[in-house]
Amino acid sequence: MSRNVLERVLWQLSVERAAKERFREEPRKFLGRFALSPEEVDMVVDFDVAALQRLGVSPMLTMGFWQELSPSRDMRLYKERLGATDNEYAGFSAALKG
Amino acid sequence: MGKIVGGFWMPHDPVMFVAPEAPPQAQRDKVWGAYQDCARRLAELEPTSVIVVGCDHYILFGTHCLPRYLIGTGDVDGPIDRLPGLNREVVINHEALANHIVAHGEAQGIDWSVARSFTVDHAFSIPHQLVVRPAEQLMGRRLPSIPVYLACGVDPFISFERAADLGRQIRAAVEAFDADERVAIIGSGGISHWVGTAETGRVNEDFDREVLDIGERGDLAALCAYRNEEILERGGNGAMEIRNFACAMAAVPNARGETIAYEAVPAWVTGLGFLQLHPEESVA
Repeated sequence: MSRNVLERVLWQLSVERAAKERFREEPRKFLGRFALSPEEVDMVVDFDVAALQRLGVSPMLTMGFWQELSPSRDMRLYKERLGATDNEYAGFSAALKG
Repeated sequence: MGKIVGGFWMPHDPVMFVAPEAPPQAQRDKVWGAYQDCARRLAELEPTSVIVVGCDHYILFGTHCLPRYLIGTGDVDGPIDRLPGLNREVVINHEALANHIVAHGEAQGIDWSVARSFTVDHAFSIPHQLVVRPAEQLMGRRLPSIPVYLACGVDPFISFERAADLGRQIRAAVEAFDADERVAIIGSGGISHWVGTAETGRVNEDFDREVLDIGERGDLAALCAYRNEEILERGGNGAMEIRNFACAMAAVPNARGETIAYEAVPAWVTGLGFLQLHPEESVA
């Protein structure tokens, strides 16, 4: 089941320093170790957190992955990627920027 | 014979440490003050040890091993997650009592997963460092503290019924302990919060006050009647942590609750509720 593999990958990328370094250096080579489809590899490399959550991946992992490894680490952008369209929770997002 | 002398519900919100100045000053003061109040109340119970019921947030346990419930019986330290203002430190455990709970549970059909060494996360460390350690200062002695972790953050979730079973078994084990032990139990979590979803930052005060009202009435059956779908809709994925409340409530004999403080704090992504669980005989 894809969710299990994706959660394994994201958990390692959230907690294991060596995995983070390998992902930063060569993400697709790192992900080649796992039984992921090409589409799933793209989701991870592209930080497509919405697609990952649609496959059932835990939001705790997508958030941790984003905060650890995404280029901006901006929680406002994270929520935009998840489809949040209002500014109701802007205070929270601003507080956690970066 | 040991005794459960009381309990608490309290939050373990890491955003308080990451963005301490995000909410209005009055809210900050009320929340930090609630922790101080809990520390004073804990010291007044004159406990000899504490059990903190927390949950993993997909940090400690990965897909390779997801225990429904676990107790730390040996070396304990933490938190594993670095938060400004929280020290990573060794925690003094009560190994004899923790191992007694495990052995007692086996005879009762409760097969605890055991961590002989355990690095806790913020679910344990925030109550421990903001309440237990200050209570130690007030009492002038250490309070050995046992970590219990229930599966509230990552599925498969522990059922409410099982969480309550564990609370009752902890109480029975304490009462069978061959020492004059006075145990306080802390249910760490909630109340409403959405973690890592598009709704992160939403707080549902109606749900939070409903949960606190259940706590005040000591209505364990009502707490255990929540279904996952309702919690996810009304309280968010973070509110699954109210299972920790059920465990703590079930451990306190005939518990009745007293709300200490409540603040809905969107800037800290959570409805923050503090409640003391009094054993029935201590209620005026």
